[in-house]
Amino acid sequence: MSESKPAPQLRDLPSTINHVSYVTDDMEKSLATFTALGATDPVEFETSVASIAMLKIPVGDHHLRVEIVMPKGKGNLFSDHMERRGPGLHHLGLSVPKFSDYFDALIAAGCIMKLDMRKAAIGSSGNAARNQGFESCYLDCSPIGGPNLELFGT
Amino acid sequence: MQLQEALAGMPLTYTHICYLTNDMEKSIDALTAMGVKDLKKVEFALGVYVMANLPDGYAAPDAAEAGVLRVEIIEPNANGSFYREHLDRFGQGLHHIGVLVPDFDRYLDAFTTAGCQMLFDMRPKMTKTGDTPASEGAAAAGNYKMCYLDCAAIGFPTIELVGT
Repeated sequence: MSESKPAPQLRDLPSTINHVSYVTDDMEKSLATFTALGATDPVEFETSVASIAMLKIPVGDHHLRVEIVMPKGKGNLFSDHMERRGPGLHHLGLSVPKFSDYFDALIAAGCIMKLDMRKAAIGSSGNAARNQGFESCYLDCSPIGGPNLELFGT
Repeated sequence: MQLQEALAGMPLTYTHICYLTNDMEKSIDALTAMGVKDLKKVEFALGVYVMANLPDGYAAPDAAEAGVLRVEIIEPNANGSFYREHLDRFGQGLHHIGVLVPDFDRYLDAFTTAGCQMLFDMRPKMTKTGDTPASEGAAAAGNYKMCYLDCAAIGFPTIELVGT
């Protein structure tokens, strides 16, 4: 158990959990299954650490995005997850309007930086926003009893 | 595709995402701070769980409409359940996604035929002598059909499959 720290002070800061990420070892198979189970509008792109597909899954009258991640290489947060745990749910995407406020609060509370993508392009993605770079990072929030987060500013 | 054909035209509802924790109070504090709402704590045979709504504090560009899917936090007890085994082996983390279906048996058949593996069967099974559920899982499940499926073989997360 990690040392006890106060919970992050975020109560007045809005956020939206907008996707859930699944790490796979077979993108084609995952795309076929997610599609069979109602996912739509797949968009695929490449990063330096993974092949990624974003889809929408229906939730009532709305939808949530699901991100399918197939790791590349070794020694990154996705390949490490695959080696340790095999395929499975990896993180929740949390979009926030004030990245630094959220980031500082989560780090102060005990979350651990796993991959810093702030203001950096991450590869040859076809996604323009990613190529331009933005405020984004992956945090291991298990020390505060929370899931891995992909935190990104909007 | 086999699964697609088997489930063609059948509805299903994604209900929640589950996180396994070693410290429920800490997780509640953290997720509450992140905007998770309406937490309700329930004790059950395998531990304690909380169901809550995800935050939807503002509409991000191109964001999904959040606030309609729930998050479940489970702190398993020491009774040797598959939750406990997962937590002891892998540590805290996201565990499964909940799927609600109108025809449990048909979905279960389709998933297992496609390659999913039964992790924990909580369907009520009656004993030969009466109406007592034949397993702890069945007792915990009450009178509805429910099971957990490891669907890694078909490239999908672990599912908590629940019949309506």
